[in-house]
Amino acid sequence: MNSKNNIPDWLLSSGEMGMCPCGCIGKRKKGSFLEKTINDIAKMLKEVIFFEDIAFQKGFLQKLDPRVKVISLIILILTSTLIHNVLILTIVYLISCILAKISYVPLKLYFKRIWLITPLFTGVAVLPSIFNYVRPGTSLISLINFGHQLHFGPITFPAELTITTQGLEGAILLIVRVGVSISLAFLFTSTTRFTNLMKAFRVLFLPKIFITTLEMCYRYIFILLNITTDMFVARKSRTFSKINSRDGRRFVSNVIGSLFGKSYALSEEVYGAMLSRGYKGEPVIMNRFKFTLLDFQWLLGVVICALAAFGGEIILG
Amino acid sequence: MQLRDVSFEYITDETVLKDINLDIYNGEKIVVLGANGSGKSSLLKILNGLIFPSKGEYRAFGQLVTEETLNDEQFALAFRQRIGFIFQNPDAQLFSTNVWEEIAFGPLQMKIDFNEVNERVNGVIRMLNLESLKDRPPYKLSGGEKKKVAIASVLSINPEVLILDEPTNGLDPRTQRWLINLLVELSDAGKTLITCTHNLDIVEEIADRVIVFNEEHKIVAEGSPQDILSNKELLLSVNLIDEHYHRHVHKFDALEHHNHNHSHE
Repeated sequence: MNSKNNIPDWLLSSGEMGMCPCGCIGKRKKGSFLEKTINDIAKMLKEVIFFEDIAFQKGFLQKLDPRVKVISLIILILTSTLIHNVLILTIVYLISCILAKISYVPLKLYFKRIWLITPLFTGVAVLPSIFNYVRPGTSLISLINFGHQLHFGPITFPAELTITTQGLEGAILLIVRVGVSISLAFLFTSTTRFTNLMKAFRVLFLPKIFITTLEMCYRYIFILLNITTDMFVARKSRTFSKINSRDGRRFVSNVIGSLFGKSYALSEEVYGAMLSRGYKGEPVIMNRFKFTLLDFQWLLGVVICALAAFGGEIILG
Repeated sequence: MQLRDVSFEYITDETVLKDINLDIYNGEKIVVLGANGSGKSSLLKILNGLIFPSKGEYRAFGQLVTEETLNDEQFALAFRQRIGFIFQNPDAQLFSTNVWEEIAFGPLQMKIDFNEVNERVNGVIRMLNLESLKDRPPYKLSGGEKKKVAIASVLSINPEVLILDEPTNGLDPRTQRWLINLLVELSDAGKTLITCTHNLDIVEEIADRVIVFNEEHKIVAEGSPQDILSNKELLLSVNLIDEHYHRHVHKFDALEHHNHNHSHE
């Protein structure tokens, strides 16, 4: 091999372009899709790491055995879906806020994450049911009075379009119920490390291979995301002007293709590494969870809480 | 371990290894040298039973190793337990969700008793000073830490033979030094080391015998590290070095009061 390379002349000259930041030569360009993708990936990684940090804190819920948490989450969600009383649901929610506080989940985040989005989506879904056209009931607010019955083909609607008490109550109940359930799920998942959560799902009789695959999936998403970021950054560093959409599409499809190739090669290597350490198709997983007195007390507390909620509902009617 | 007339090709007519004859003895330190693409990595994979010779035969610990014999569960387990392979790319090797589980993976697959697994994992963690990392996911580890964990995950199986593919790649000088010292210690403890590397500076310390591959995928030389490294013509002919390559011999100075090796630039 000849170690003396023949460097072409153009590679030896430098600074061919004028550098002028004032905008008199070049046009200012807006952030391209490259930048957006890079930022989005970074944001996602930051978020995952943020939640991992919560799960690593030494709060109350973090101390519990993940298996116990999975069971108690199911009990609590079942309770809140079966309860019809908004007051009791609110009390359940307030208790969950206390749990969030002592588990170092920022309350602002706990509130914002759920109550900004849930009412919107659930609200859209239940919106029709508050009107008397969909669900007849006692009129609460009258919206439009047509003066005569409306006929749409074979269907006849009453003359007055109103919001009904029953409809509104039903809608509020549903929104609160969904919100409380999602809050509980959020609270329990954010205070448990993803991998422990996966392992804890074993109590629900999920097959081992399923759990192992999910875990590895989670593990390698990070590597593939890093590879993607590298490819986007590499492209960005060689991008001088705005990329037109045709080139953009071509670049993205190239990235997808090469990412697939890389992940395939990686998967082969990983399989080799697993084989080399004795993997035989059925992974052996070791359980490092410990069921402690605290877990027992907690589970007892959850059951008492659920019973109290049902009892309260019977009393309050 | 014994290779007889072994050839290997991924695609027909594109030979990766050609007529390899090699004996590796218990407790030996071997370094495989060769330019990029000369077939070193494939040789290591054959030795680890991950790929199988297209021609010729490979025997390990007196037994023939083929796809067929490795299908026998007991044989596979015994073979895997005896040979540990440290991959060049630690990301491929670290597939578990945290360091502790990574190290426990091997022993667990070997169906070792849970208490013993616990003991082994904690022992290796202490030995390599990984206490502070043990609950960390792999994406929160630096390159050097990943390598340490990869080594720990193989050591926990307690293999007799350690195969290392470019172990010093991407490591800073300090970690390289640490690694070489560890390898020397392991060798002193009786482990067989098979390393493939481009890093000529470390060869003398981790080799009793050096094997050189040429770009035709054949073994062209075999000898003591001193003989091979001083044979500039040979290294030039296999395209491992250029004509300006030279080595700095570091004379031991008794006045410096330390008799260990050190890395230098």
